[in-house]
Amino acid sequence: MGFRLEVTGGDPIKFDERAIINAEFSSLSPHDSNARATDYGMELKIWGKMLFSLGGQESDSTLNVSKWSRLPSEDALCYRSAKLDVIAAGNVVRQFELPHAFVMDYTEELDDETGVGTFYLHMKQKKDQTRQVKLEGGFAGE
Amino acid sequence: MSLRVTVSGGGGDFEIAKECVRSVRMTTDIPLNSDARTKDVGSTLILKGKILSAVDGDPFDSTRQMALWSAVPAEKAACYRNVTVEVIQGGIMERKYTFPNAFVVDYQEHFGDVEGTGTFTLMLKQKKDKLNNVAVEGGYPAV
Repeated sequence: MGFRLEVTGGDPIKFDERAIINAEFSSLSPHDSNARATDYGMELKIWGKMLFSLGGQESDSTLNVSKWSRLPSEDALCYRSAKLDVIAAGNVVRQFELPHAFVMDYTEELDDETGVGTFYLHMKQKKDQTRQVKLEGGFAGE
Repeated sequence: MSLRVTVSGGGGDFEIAKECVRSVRMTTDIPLNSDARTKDVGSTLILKGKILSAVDGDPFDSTRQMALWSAVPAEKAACYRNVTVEVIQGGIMERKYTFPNAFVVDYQEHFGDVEGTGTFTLMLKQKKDKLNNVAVEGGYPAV
């Protein structure tokens, strides 16, 4: 199962299956509602490896993610378009697109044991723009 | 054990294949601080399962329909749908849960680089004022 994450609208952020370990999509609404709530949001969570580049043949985007996560809310660049593809057996099983995503949480962990660090990125679509989220999938592609 | 889930209404009838659904959990939610029988009773269905990729030109599984349902805003009538969960064991319909006015509370999909397939969790509730319409049946031969 392969993953491709691309965030556009600022410094380039791109990860593929070599870096991404887990991906999660959530569509969440309040648990105490008696009927369908208007207050629902959609988010993407990505867990991955921080693959450092040997001699510059690959670019590691984690530095750009870190910069994105520290942008102040006044900056227009804090909202970006995030697209995640989940690919298996020559099919795009899912293609999630959050056109106005902002960073909810970004964590990096590095130690002297594992060799590569890991990151966790939590993105959410700006809530009033939840309807712009695209949930595609079920077509051929690699 | 075979779990068959059908969702109808809202202009998009679909069935979540028995190959996909792994577990169902039905709960009746009663406030824990009630001193006597409460009026505030709700019911929840939690479905968990797998997201499969099509091979050999088979049709894609309908799990994406759940994601699309979870994106329907509250203003649309299509956010309430009729959900039936049938648990069939050895030719016997062990349980048949019917939530005629179910809405999505949470929907999550998880994909990992180890499992090979994705997993989903769908949390549904019956519209609280329509609780009487929830049906729990079972114990008869499955057709």
